[in-house]
Amino acid sequence: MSVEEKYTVEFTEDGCAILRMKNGQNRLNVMTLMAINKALDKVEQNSSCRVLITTGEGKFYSNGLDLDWLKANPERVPEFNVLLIDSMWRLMHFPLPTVAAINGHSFAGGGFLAICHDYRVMRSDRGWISWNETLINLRIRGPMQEILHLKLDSRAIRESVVYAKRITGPEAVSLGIVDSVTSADRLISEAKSLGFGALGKNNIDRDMLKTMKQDTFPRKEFGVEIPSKM
Amino acid sequence: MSLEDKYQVSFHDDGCAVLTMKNGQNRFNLTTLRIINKALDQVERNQSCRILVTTGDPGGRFYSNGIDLDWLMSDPSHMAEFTALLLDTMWRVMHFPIPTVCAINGHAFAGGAFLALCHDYRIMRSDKGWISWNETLIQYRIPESLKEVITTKIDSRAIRESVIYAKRITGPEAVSLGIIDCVTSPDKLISEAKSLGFGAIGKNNIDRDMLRTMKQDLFPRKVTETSKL
Repeated sequence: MSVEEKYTVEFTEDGCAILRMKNGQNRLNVMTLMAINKALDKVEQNSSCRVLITTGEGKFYSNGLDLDWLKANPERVPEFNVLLIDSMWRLMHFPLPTVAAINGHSFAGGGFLAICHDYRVMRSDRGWISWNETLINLRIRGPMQEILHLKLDSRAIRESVVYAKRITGPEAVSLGIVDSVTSADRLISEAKSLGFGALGKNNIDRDMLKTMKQDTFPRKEFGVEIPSKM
Repeated sequence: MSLEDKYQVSFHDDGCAVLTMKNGQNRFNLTTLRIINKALDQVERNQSCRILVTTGDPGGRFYSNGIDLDWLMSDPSHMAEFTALLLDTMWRVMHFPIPTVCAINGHAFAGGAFLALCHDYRIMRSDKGWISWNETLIQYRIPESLKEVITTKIDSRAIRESVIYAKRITGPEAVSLGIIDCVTSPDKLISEAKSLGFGAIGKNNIDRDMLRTMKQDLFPRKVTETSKL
């Protein structure tokens, strides 16, 4: 199975696109990010689809960056960094409501992926969301940091990032990191409720929604606003 | 008792450093800020110490009543040096290399409230004490360098209530506004403060330099102009 086949998009009859990551820990490297972007292209190309849900399979939503691959391919790190940031901001500014249906652990890069979505729902019984960079002496700077500050308040940042605590679903709700928790079998349906709830009875123009997200969550890099490339 | 004796650091067996300020209203001037920094130096030099709790006199009315305005007004030539040291002290606490907990034993007003916000965690008495910024009421503009401290830690609703409208916020109100983490009875203030601090570390071993760097990166000190308050 190629990498691309592990990132599938299902278009449901009620107007949802479900992007499923079925790649073990769903770690992020150049190939997997390209597969994710191809999947997002498919969603954007389908003009009848109204909500995007992303989810994983099994123990992980995403365990973050593929550090082994990065260590083995240092010459591709600059390419990876650009693609990672662009992908995060593509999601931040996606022209449809986006919901992360967090089926399992969401660590570091996986945590970032989740907070780039408009909404987050987690399992009530299993899975942690966390940023462990403090524990592995890895700094969070520039573009990734902006995302944190746009989506989390200082208390959430203190708990889940500065002190790298493993945050359960219910704790994540009380910290405002996720919107709600539910049982595993209701994860997708709750995600749909959140996504369709965003639209309500409105018809929201895709370009306007992207623009609104770009305006209210601007991408600045080291203090300079960068127009989104995707 | 010398002035230095009024700012004592005790190192507890459980790895907690407790800095207790017993200098009346615990106001800030050049002398008291230097003493506080010396106390922080002691804490940083002690490698076995894992969290820092700061507090006032358990029987006292104040955590800190802020800047020593009488002293400042009596000799304005100190302004630049004092301002720089005040800001440096605030941000030193903000970026402290171990978890910091403010055990707010009494009132925390203005400068005292700023210092409280610089800590990672805040706990107040449930029954007594207010946290508040009274600058609106004394026609005092908060300079950007100090404003940064506020906007880093609390949201617009908390700012509206405690800063813009200078309300005296009780412990329970401060919890609901997200200004502090929790309230407790006076006899449990220090032990609950310790729980917050040790709870931050959990079972982890967090490198001190990394923790300081992480705080510097995520709660950056951006404003460099600090010559006047």
